[in-house]
Amino acid sequence: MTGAIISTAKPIFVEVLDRRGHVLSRERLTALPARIGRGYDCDVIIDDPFIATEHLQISRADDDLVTVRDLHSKNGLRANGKRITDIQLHDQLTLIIGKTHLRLSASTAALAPEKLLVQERISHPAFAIAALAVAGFIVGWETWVGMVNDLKPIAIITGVLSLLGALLAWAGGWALITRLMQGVAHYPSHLFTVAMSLIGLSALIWLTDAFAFIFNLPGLTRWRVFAIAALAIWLVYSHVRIASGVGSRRMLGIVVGVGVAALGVQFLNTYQSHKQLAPNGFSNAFLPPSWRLARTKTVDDFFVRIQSQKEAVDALRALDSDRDSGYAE
Amino acid sequence: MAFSGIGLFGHFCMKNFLAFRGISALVSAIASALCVLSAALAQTGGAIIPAGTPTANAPAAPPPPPSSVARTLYESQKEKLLQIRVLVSGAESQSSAGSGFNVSTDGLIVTNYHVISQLIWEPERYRAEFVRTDNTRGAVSVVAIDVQHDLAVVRVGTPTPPNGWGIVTLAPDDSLTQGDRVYSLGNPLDLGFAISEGTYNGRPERSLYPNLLFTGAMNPGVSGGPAMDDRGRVVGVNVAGFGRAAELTNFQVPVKFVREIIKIAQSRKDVPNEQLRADMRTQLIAHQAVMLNALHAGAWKTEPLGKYRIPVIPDKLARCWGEASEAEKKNYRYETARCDLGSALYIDRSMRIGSVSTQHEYSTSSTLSAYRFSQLRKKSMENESQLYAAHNKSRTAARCTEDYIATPTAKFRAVVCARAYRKFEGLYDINTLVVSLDNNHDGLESTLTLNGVDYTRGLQESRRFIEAISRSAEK
Repeated sequence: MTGAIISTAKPIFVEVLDRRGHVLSRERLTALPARIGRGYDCDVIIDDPFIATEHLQISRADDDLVTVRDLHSKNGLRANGKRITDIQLHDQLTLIIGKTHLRLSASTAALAPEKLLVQERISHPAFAIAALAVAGFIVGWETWVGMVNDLKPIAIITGVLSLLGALLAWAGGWALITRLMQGVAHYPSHLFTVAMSLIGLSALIWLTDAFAFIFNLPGLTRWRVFAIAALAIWLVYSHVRIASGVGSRRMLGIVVGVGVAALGVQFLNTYQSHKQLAPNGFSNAFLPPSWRLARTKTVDDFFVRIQSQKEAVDALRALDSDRDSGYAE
Repeated sequence: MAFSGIGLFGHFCMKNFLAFRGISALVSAIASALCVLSAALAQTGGAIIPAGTPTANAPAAPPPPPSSVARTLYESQKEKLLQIRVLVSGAESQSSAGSGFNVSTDGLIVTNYHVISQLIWEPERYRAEFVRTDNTRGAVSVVAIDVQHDLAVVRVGTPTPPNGWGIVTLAPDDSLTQGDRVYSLGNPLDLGFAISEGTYNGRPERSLYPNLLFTGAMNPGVSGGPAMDDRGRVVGVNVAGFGRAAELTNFQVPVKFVREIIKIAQSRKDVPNEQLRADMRTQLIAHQAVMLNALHAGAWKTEPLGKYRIPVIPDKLARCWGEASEAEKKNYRYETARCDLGSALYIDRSMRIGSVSTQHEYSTSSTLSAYRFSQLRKKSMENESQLYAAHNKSRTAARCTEDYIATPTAKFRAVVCARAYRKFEGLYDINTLVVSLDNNHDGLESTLTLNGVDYTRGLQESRRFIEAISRSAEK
């Protein structure tokens, strides 16, 4: 025992944290010096086999400075990723001894301000069920549109059910992750998110097709891939946000990064096979002919435009013969 | 000893299955596989008459007795016959084999182009040799090719003096009359030299080039061998048949073209591959002109399909077939009409160039809503997405132009895609797709596939094709 035991009005709090920073236990030290270790005569006892029987001592000097000192343990004391022998506690300190994370705080430690309650996500099961019903209807309707000569209700039902099954399973996967992270599954929120994405995708494809056909804008069907990618990014980020309980720019950055990378890989593939980025050469948007509003061109005008294609393919040919020595002439 | 004629079956069969070009690669792969099988069957059940000196790998099946003319002919000609083998460079593995015959005292041999095509495209990987009936062999190199008639002339390399081999006699042009006996000589299935007897049956109608129709057995490996009349004069060169579908129907290239290619070959000594490829390009450009000129005399022939009149290739030239939906399919009915000008030339194992095909599908529905009917037509249009072809070894990626166009009687969504041949400057594939926009409840989808054509000529045909489609006036 070193130093006099001083009773103080300014207690020190010793908290054992889990790896995510949640407090597992909290001790209030009112008398310093105090010792932390595995031994029963310590003031704070921690059952970690990698901790010495007497591992740390916390003491207050005459000038009121609180110092944490390693008591010659084998595994030592670490703070900010470095091994140290002693450190002063002013406000709050996070330390590692053995495999245990400790947080030491003065009672005067400055804390983060009170968080505002975030408005609850659309989590009522009714929303999820409604979105699911709409998605199921869309798929059933699309199956029915393509079913021409003999109507098979069973085929429509199995189509719809397998889609619903897939959506439920997808949402279930995310709910499981959420449950592991937060202890709550938020299943309806996940289900709502994925069903809405599917509805959005159908609407996106249908609308781009319709505009492409009605107004003769084939580029819409060619470049809607960007909108589809954005939708996929939104879907994944929404799931991640629900699963983690908070949104952050970093998470959004990661999801966008992965999405952009996937899109980039797809463009590279297209470039490899078609020597241009457009994923399709022409639009196959097709609707009832009477819906068309764009004007027709004369055959003359059309063939004048095709002439310029020749330069494009000749350019590809020139590009090739340099590269492929096996067939170069 | 491993049977090494598989590659050759592939060759032979590919030629036989030209009609399948343009359908999926899968279909042709299956076709080739079936063909290999059928060739193997032919080996055991075919009418081959092995004669003379059998090669080491010839199975000793007892041959049926040949006619005395055939026997005499074979004995007098066997010195002039050769097998032409293409081998992997620096190895003894055989890639393909065909037949040939000696046409000059300085070692010129006539064979089929398809027998030696690999030498033109992959000279580093392949070499060729001749094998005579007495089993002497030596290297050969290509001096002239004619892809239009599938002919080639190779020259025997210097180490082997060709003196004393004897050369064939060429018959005058058009010396045969229908019904004449013709003898096809060669080395079928790599089993040893053989002679097969048949009948000259005139010139087939559906052909751009006037081949001789030979009714008699011809098996893979006799490609490039001579066809002779009973006086032992060469009247043609064995080239290809229809495979199992028409077992005894085979073709021979008329001697006229043999004479022409020999003339070219005689003036040449060492011929670089670049020269042969340039020749090939010239021939392909000539071929596409022949092909497109044959299509029509200035305007496409049309025939009715639903409410439209559609342009088709005259059936004198093309193989055409149609299809209609079953009668009980009341909601959605269709009729198709396809024509294929069987004009593609063999270039190598993976490429045939020079063909035209047309395809029309007329569909109608009186019960489906306009929207549902349009979605069925959309699905059908999606099947044409291969027009936007990917870039590959032989052709560049395609570039397409699309728009709404109107002719005096009809309106269309039109797409024209073009791609260039990488190995042949000035040749393109030009594919046209038009989807009619005249009515919500009936429609036409037409495609014109031009394979290996001049750009301007191709566009001209594409345009004529579109303008030849007309819709009958609504009542």
